[in-house]
Amino acid sequence: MSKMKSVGFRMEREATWRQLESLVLRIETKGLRKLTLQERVALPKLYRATLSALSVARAIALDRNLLDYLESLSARAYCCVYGARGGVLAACREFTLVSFPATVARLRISFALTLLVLLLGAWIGYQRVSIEPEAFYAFVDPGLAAGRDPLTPTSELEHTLELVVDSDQGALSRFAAMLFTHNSNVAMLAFALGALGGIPVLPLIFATGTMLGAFSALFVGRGLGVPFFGWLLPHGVTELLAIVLAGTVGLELGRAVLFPGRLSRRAALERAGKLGGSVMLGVVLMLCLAGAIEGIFRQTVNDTTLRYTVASSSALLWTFYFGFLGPRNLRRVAAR
Amino acid sequence: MSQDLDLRTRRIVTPEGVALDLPIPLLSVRLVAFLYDLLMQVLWTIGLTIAGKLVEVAIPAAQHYLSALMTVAIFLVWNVYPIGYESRPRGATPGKRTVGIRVIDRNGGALGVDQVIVRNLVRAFEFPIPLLILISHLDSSFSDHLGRVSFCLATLALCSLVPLIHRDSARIGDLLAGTLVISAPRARLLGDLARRAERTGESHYSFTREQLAVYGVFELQVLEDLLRDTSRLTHEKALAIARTIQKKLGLDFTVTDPLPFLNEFYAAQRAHLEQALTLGKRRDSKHASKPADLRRTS
Repeated sequence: MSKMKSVGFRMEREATWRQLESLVLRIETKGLRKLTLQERVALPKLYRATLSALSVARAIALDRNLLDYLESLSARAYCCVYGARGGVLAACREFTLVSFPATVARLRISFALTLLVLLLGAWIGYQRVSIEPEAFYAFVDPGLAAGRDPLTPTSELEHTLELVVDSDQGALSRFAAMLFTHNSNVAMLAFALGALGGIPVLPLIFATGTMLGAFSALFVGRGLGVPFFGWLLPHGVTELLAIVLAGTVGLELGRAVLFPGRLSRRAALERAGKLGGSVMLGVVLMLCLAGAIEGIFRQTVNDTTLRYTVASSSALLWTFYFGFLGPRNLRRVAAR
Repeated sequence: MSQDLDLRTRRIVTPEGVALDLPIPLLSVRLVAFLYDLLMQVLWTIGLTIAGKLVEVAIPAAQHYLSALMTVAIFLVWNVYPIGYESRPRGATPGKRTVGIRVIDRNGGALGVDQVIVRNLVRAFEFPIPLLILISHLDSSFSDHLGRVSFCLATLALCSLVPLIHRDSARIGDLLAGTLVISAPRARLLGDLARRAERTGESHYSFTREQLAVYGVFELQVLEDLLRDTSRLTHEKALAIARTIQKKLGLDFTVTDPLPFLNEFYAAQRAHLEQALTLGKRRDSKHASKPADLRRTS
């Protein structure tokens, strides 16, 4: 009996497949990092050889076990070769210095719109509460006000802004933690609402703005404007920016759903989701940073001048980051 | 290509241009993976809380920093745990790894960390957050917040419906991120049956081209499965199969030792069909019309 092509083919290539199989098994159980340099170099070569063997086998072989084996081995090797990239540190540097500001710069129109809506909300909230203090209750959730409303005496309001050494500090840090949770919830909600069409994003941002305006009006009305903003802004600049960014992403997702343009709706949504995912990672990091400023800096520093220094320098930093680094990186990425 | 009809697969094309049919896991399997991860996250949360309390008892002065630290730590457990695991080359959380499934890019490209982030951030809104809001209104305020409650219910219904009707069982997070959850397939390479026939020595049987034109690829692979499953292939069963083939092919001798006959027939049949395949003629089963020009072309 003459030797079959598929038999000879298999005898010739089987060693390569076995080698790839043992590599893949080790990656699957122990991870890519345990491989030696030679093995890492060999992996893509073995993968391509096996993939081409699969193509050949499909054309010449009818041995089902062989075909199943090659298909599953190719799939496993494919997952190893094209799995998410490991290099965490390099990914972090690339992300913080290049891709995050560049992506924000790409979404600048939605970003400007969201920022505008937040400021508009703040302005309207401020105006309404200055004229008519009762309107405060329409803008602020009583749970969040935590006893800081138009009925609170000025001295107590002042008290909430200071670094308090006695037992009240517990209440204040709880409030800070709650604010952090609340704000990251707002940020995540803004992102998720985008997937549902994006319509509720702007009202959500607007409501956050009015709340901010209402609080400002309350404190400014009692002559506590300077300490209030010193209390709010060191972390608030970062935190509000993060919320605006989350709203931007939500808006982009909504735009992909409503106006996908030339792309299919799913493709547009996927594209916006990819962009949005990296921005949301930045948002989470910004919220953590804001939480750290809020939890540590504000709990220890009571000097208004120092608070304003931190606030204005963080504002400058973010302006440089998104206003200069962003567009510059975007041009570089586009040129690549 | 797998021929199990009950196995759902999704075809992706790798960047090298080769199509791979990857098996889609059952929803129940994904649910088990999810519950496993949920359990791990709950255990982490409990462990962190206990550790926090212990430190608080030991160093009472650290209380305020501790509460902030705990908030952040628990936030990380719930959000970074799945992202961290799926960003690694294995593309699977411990739960997914346990049941043997993993995340890949739907379009066959490289899975990006950004995709992993999206699919996991969106999960929070598919299930835990609407549920938590609903629970928070359970006491009495259902009727006061009818809008919010019905919004949550609608979200829950929509998000649990999508994986049920989607052909790849994708949830909304998968759709947004462009990812796909597949079973990590594991087939073992067994011996080549055609070589088994060669090893048994000189051939005792010969088949004519007409006889080999009776069966197709389907029958060949059924025979392959039978021959590979040696534990269940008894002498009587093998004999019955050999007799069936013999009758169908119109062979004029009686088989007494069925295994060598079956091995040789398998080798001859496969050689015949593979030769035809090389020439672009694939005969899928005995029901397919016989290729009239086979003799001429081969």
